[in-house]
This record gives sequence, structure tokens and C-alpha cells, in this order.
Amino acid sequence: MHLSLEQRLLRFLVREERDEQRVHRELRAQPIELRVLEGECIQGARFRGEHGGSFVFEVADNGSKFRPGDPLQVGDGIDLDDGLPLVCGDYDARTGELRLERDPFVRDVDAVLEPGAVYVIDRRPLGLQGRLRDAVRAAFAEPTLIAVLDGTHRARRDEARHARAVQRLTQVGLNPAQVAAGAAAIATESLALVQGPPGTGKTRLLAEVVAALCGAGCRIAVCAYTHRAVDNALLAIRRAAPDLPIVKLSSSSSEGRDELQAAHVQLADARRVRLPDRGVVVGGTCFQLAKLGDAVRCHYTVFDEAGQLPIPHALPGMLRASRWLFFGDHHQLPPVVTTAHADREAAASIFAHLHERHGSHLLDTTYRMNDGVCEVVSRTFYGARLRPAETAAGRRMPFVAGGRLDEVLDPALGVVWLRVDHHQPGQRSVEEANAVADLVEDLVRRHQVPPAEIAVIAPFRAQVRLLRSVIQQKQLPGTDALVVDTVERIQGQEREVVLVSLTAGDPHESRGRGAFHLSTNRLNVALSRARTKAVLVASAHAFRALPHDVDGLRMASCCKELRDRLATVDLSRLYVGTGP
Amino acid sequence: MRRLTGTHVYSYVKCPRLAALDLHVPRSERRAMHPWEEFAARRGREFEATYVAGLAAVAPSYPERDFEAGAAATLELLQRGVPLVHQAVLLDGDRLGLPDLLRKVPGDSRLGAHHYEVVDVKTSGRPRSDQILQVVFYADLLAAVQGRWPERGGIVLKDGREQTFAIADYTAAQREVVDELRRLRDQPDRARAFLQAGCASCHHDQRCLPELQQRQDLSLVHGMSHGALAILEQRGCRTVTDLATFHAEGARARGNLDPTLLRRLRRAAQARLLGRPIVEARPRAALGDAALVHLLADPFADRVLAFGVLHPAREDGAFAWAAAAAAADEWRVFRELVLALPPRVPLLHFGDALPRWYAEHAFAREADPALEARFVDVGKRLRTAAIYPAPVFGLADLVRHGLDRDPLRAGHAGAAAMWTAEPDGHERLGAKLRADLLDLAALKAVILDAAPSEPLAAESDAGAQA
Repeated sequence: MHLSLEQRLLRFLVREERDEQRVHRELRAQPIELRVLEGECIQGARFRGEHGGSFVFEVADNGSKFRPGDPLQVGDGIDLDDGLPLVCGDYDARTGELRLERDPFVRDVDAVLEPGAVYVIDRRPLGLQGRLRDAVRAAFAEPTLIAVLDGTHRARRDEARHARAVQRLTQVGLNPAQVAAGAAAIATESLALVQGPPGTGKTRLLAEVVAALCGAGCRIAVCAYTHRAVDNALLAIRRAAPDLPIVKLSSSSSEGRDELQAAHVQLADARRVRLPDRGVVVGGTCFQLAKLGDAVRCHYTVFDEAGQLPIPHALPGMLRASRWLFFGDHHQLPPVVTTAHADREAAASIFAHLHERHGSHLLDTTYRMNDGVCEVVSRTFYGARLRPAETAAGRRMPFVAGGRLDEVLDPALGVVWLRVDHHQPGQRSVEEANAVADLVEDLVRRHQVPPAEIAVIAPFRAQVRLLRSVIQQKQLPGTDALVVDTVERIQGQEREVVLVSLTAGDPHESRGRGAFHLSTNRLNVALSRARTKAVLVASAHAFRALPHDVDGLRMASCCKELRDRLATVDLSRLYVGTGP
Repeated sequence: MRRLTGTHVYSYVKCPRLAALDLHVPRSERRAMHPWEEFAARRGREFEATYVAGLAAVAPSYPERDFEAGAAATLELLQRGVPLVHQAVLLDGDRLGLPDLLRKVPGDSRLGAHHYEVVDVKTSGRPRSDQILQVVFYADLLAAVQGRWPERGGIVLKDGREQTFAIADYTAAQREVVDELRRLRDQPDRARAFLQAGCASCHHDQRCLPELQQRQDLSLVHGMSHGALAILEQRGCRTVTDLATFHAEGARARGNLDPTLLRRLRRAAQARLLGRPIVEARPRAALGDAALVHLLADPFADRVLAFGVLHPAREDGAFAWAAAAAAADEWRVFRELVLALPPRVPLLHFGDALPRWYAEHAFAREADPALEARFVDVGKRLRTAAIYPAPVFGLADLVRHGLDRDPLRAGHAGAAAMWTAEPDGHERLGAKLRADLLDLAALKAVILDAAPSEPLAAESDAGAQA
């Protein structure tokens, strides 16, 4: 059956909504142990009592994926309609203390917890309804938008504006690729795409472009998938243009309120805000932009992190303007999709979709990665088109020879594969966690790398928790500043040294799971957070995966190339077959 | 030395042991094809022949099985610049490839101002990784002939569309597979049998399955993974009996295996020794007055042949079914059957065939979100509600190990398309639907509606809690 792009996008939205509901329903029908193994449940949580408004539990082994803010339910794990609805707070792996908070949106709860009793903690469904279907229908009533989306539109540019933009952007010290991309964005009469690999100054360029356009009297909408990405873009714009009026369409629970307010960014409710006609920047997620009154139009909509933005999510922002500037990188994190057999085209990011049809300007110089890290990242993920800036190329991490992990941490090697050939199935590997903890200890104690300059990244939240716990046992000074998280939480950041734990040790599991741990987009983001050193801690078995789906196979094949490209140190004998 | 072929690549992706046996066991020792497998293979050959017939492709001429002569004849065609070569012979050292089509494309090569790329004709609806690797294997051989790699490869799908892909995206995986195949050719024992979903339809099943049973292989345990098996064997736990009583003190002793996983695997080994499923305690999922809905499909034609319902979802429920004579008929047949049921009853189905069919067809018709919300995948619930005495991949395994019944007593679902061409085909479709629905109803009763099993004596161990 042939469906138009509009129909496919609508079908994609319907399936996403339905599958989210179904996944949750099926999860709730599983036995407790299976939910625990999936990281969606904590068994044996002993309730200590209520302290300072928090519900405090003692959790011996927290392998869950729960993050602060996740809606949870405390009960017997059997009757899931009859538990106490709470919200996940902080977990301290040292003490095993898990704090849950009251959910301000849930009232009339009469369940009571008994101190000393043992409970099961499950995830609670959160109903999210989008306005995206309306946006898709509205977008496909606009001929220019249709032409842009189907690739038949030809973007024109204003030559005089282009010349002025080249002059301005050169004056602010941008490199030639940035100037070319920025001038194309400023001069376009409809559409421009800028591909910004890691550390190439994409957000700074976005800020300079917005500052130039807004300074010329334009009203600009800035849109991204997450509040965090919107905030980053607005703060960068503030740095480029200290006097511009900037408004952030904000929900009451927005995390970065203080930082925005300190930067004189006005926070406003999308339904009530009154915007000046000219010379203003208004930022928000797609849902926030959709809430603006129908009459609110902008001269441009600028999208940041557009590689993470699904096509339907971009449309509310696109409907606000007739010129669209997309800043993103389809080789970094893709959109999050629930549907297992999603229509690949409908599930792609707006950046990937438009890049395929209209091309993009590549920012080719990274100011973050040194020569060694950049070479691996560039050859593996960017067809060798990315190069390090002179200021970054020769940088090396601090190093004091004489440690047992010298071979791994040798600063002359940008990226190293530390082989730990375990077979662990599932989403945790003690072997890799021990190896990573030793590396962190060596980096901090011997090489004097500040913990704030180290990031530890793993694909699974269960492994992240294990890593935190094993590292905490080392009792290193200053490890509160150490980032240990999944790659999704660290995009946009950089560190001197990055340690990546691939976790998976059973290549056959990746057939069913797709190639999540071998996702080239995730690996790219993980390795490219490093300024001078990245260590990939992984089992050789992980690379043997041959996923059954074509995308999975492509990524697995790319990872095999990466493996063959890396300097290798095999410490399996040290870490496999050992307990914590 | 046995030559490596594209078929070996294809087999390896499915199962390394299959590839090893294909390399070492004479064809005469393979299980003979079932009639429905022959039927499917014949349709594939016919599809390829029909597709190629419309292309004016030229085939090399050579004495049967004289592949050296075939390769020489192919080279001559390539040097002549024939636009399309059918059933070319590509030979390089220990590798032999017989791609369906080689297509001439511009770009310098050892052959002149042109070169060739590989196109394979398949009967699947979307490309699979084994098919991609096969094309890359041929592209590698072609590169040796023409002195350059083709940039792209293509797979013609069953609807006649061709999907192309960049060869370079997959060369590392292909290289690794070929290296592994060479090792398997020299050391066949490198690949050991492991019970998996494809075993039931494998032509070496009569060889592997008895071998697994004879050594009480750990892969016979429900929920076992390759990784867990390797770790357990390293700890000296090698058989189902070993695992049923395996108690490890501390993380080191259990090879850092997740303690919850180990506990489940041990219970699964005990279930195997007991010969019956262990029903687990789980959330009460009220299915109320549910109906079972099932379908029989012809995957090659992308068609549903018949739908059946059983309501209430009990073995004494009322069975109704109807065949869809053509694709255009499917929607009406399904609606009539489902609308005859009381409104709002949950619709229990097995696997994702029904919701996928519905999502595909309903979108352009009268999609009913309320109806779709009634779908409940009883297959997933059955798989997770109990620990079975053997791994369960499909309905047949659940019936065999959950009910101790013969799941094929009314025939194999894969034969449904074949039946439609037979005089009693209509009755066979109905009988198969009825048998499957009754099996599902029985499984619901003994697994989903049953109280959790009593804890096994061996469960009350302290070691498991370590």
C-alpha cells in the first residue's frame, strides 16, 4: 500500500502512542523478577520512614533504570493498581539509600507505608498526548513546507545579505567553514542546514547567526527536542548578544530556571506571553511552541540538535515561520523511537530527512578533540572529513609513568580499546566496572586528572549504577564531580578523559536487542566527548555481533572497523573471573 | 578444500553450527525438505525466473558444475560489457559465488570504462542481514575480477522493488564472516550446537537435537543465553542436572552472573527435570471475558488466508472462522468476525502478526483505536508467566512444553499457503485455526489463569540469595 509522507508521519505517531501504551501494559503483566532484570523494578526495598518530606528506602542492589523525576509506584509488585504513587529522587550507592518524593500531580492517595516493611518499586505509566497530529495535518496544507519535506524545494539566497554575513562572521573570529555555513543560513530565503560534528562550534555559530538576524530586527523562534538543549542554545545566544531580549517558554518544572534567570532570559508561559513584533528571540520545545497563539509568527525558526528531533516534532516550529535553519548532526544521537518496526523514513530525524534531500554545510574543524581522538572519530564516523584545530591537535592528558595501566593511559594513543573478554549477558558487567574503576583511580591518584575532567559512559542505566557503586568504593577525593552516565545525558559536554564501558558480552543478545550497545551514533557521541583520551572498555565478544536487522548490521560492521583501528590492550586475565 | 559459497555466508548468520555442518556433512545426510518447504522454495525459484525473464539478461554457458569454465565464460561476458548477466560464476581461491544478477554501471575498472554491481532476487518483504552479507560476499569476489569494488549492491524484494545499499557499510562484517567460515572449515567443532528459534526448521535438526539432549546441554534450559552458558561452563556447571543444583557462594563463584538471572536459570533447569512448567507469581492481569483471535498467513504473498475466533477464550468456547479469498477480502472478514463478538472483550492474539496486520490495513480504512486497544499479546504473557521445561520460541514450543500436546496435529502453519491449492485446503485451514485456538485457550487456563506453582524444595537455598 503506497502512503504519502503525511500519511506515514501520521501512522508513525499513532503507532508510537499505541506502542508506548502496549509496552507498559505488557511490562506490568510480567513477574517481578523479569521486571527487575529489565531494570524496570526494584525488589526488596525496605522502607525506613519519611524524612524531610522524602520517603527513604534501603535498597541493597539497585539495577533499575529509574532516574530522578521518573514516576514510580510502591507496593507489593503484584497488585499494580493499588500502590503508592511517588517520584524517584536520589539514590546513594554507598549507603543504598533511595529517596522517593511525593508526586505533586497525584492527589487523594490513601496508601500508607509501614516502616521496616519490604516493598517492590515499579515504574508508573505517564500519559503523554501530543498535538503533533494537528501539526502534521497543518504542515501538509502548506505548499512550501510540502516542497521542503519532499525535497523539491530549491532554496534561494539574498546575495547582498550573504556578503554582509560573510564580513560579520569573519570579524567575530569564525573559521572558514563556520563562516560559509553561517552566511548561507543568514542569507537563505527558506532553508539551510548546518552539520556540526562534536566540538566544531555549532552552538556558537547558531548564536552568532541568531544574534545577527535578531539584531537586524527579526523575530526568531529557537526550538529543540529537550528543555536542556533549548536552554543551551539560549545561553549561547546570550553570550553572543548580551542585550537581546530573550524569552524562554517554560514549564513550571524546568530544570535550568536559575541559570536562565541569571542570564536575564525571561521565563514565560506560552499561553499568556506577549512578544514584541521584532528583535526578539523566543525559545521552547516543540510542544511549547505549539502552545503559542495561532497568530504568533516569526521571521525564522532555528532548530538546535535537529538530529534528535523527529519530523513531526519539528513541524510546530516550522509552522511558525517561513525560513528554517537547522543545526544538528545526524551522526550523533538519533530520535528516541518506541515502535520496534517503525517506518524508517517517518522515524528519521528532521535533520537526516532534510540532509538527504537538500544537503548541508559541514563544520570541519573540531576545537575539542586532539589529533589522536579526532583521527579515530573522523575516520570512523565522518569519512575522514573532520580535522582538529591547531590549538587542540597537540594537547595531551597529564601522565606520570610507572602505573600498572600505563599502556592503556599512554597519552600518545588517543583512543584505546581495553579488552576485557567477558561473556556477561544482560545490561551489567562487573568485569568492565572493575576495570573502569581502576582506570579512574589511576587517573585521579597517579596522573592527577581532576575527577571533574573525567566522564564514564555506558549504554545501560543498570551498568551506570554499577559503575557508580564500584567507583565510590575506591573512596577517591572529589568524585562527586565525576560524571558517570548514559550517553544521552552527556551529549553537549566534554571532558579531558572519557571511559566508555560497552557492557555487553554476549553477541547473540544483540540480535534481539538490535545493536543498541553498538549504535554508531551513541559511540560517536561517547568517544567524541574526550579532549585528549578515550578508553573503550569492552569484551571482544561484543564486537562479534551480527544483528539480523539491516541497520543493526551496518552499525555492527562499523564497530568492527573501529575495533580494528584501535590500539588494543588485553587485560582480560586481570578482570575476568574476578569478583568485586 | 571445500569452497566457501554465498549459501555458507547465509547459513552462518543464522547459526554458525549450521554453516559448519553445511561445510562438512554431505547433502544426502540432511533432513529431506517438508512439502511446504519445497512449495516455498519452488515459489522463490519461480519468482526469480519471472523477474529475470523480463530483463533480457545473458547467462554464461558452461558444462554443469565446471565452475572454472563458468568463471571464464562470465569473465568474457563482463569484458564484452553485457548490460546484465544472470547466474554469473565468480571464483577466487577458495570462494565461489553465483549471484543472481550482475549489472553494468559506469566507472573505470579492469574491464574497461565500466564495471559491475551485484543484484540478488529475494522473496522477502524487506532486506535481511544475511541477504546483505551474501551480496557483499559476491561483491568481494567481483572486486577480484574487475579490480575494483562496486559501490552499491541491490536486493530485489518480493514486490519487485529494488533496495540498494552501500557495500562499504558492510565489508568489515563480511570479512569477519568469511574468516570464521574458513576456521569452521578447518575446525568444525568450533561451532557447537545451541538450541534456538531456527532449530525446528533446520535441515540438520536430526543431528543437533539428539546431541544436545544426550549431553543435557545447558541451551535446553528456558531463558539460557550464549553468554550465561559460557560463564556457567567456566564454573564447572555443564549439564541441566548440574545447573538444577548449582549453588554459588558470592559473585566470583557465580562468574559475576546476575543473581536474579542465575536463580531463574536454576529454576528453569529444575522445570526441565520435572518435565512441567513452573507458573510464576505476577501482577493480576484481568483479562475478564476475553476472546482469542488467530490468523493463518501466506508471508510470501503478504496475505492473511483466514481468521478464527474463540469466545469465550476457553476450550469449550464457540469457534468461528472465515477464509479471505483475496487480499481485498481480509478487512471485511476480520471485521465481521470481531464485530460478532460482544463489544469491549479483550482480543487475545499470539505474537505481533495480528496487530501488525491491523496497523498496516486499518490506517487507510476505518481505524478504530478502541478496537486496537483491546489487543493483548497472549504470547508474550505466556512466555513470561511461567518457566518452561525447555526454551519456548513460538506457539508450537509453548504447546509442546506447556501442554505436552502435539502442536502439529492439525498440520504446520507454514503449510497454509500450500493447502489453499489443495482440494481439502479450506477444511485444513479451519482445522488448523481451531486446533491453534484450542491450544491457546488451554495454555491460558493452565498458565495464565492458574495459581502460581508451589516453591520447589531446591529453591530455599541461601546460596541463591548471595
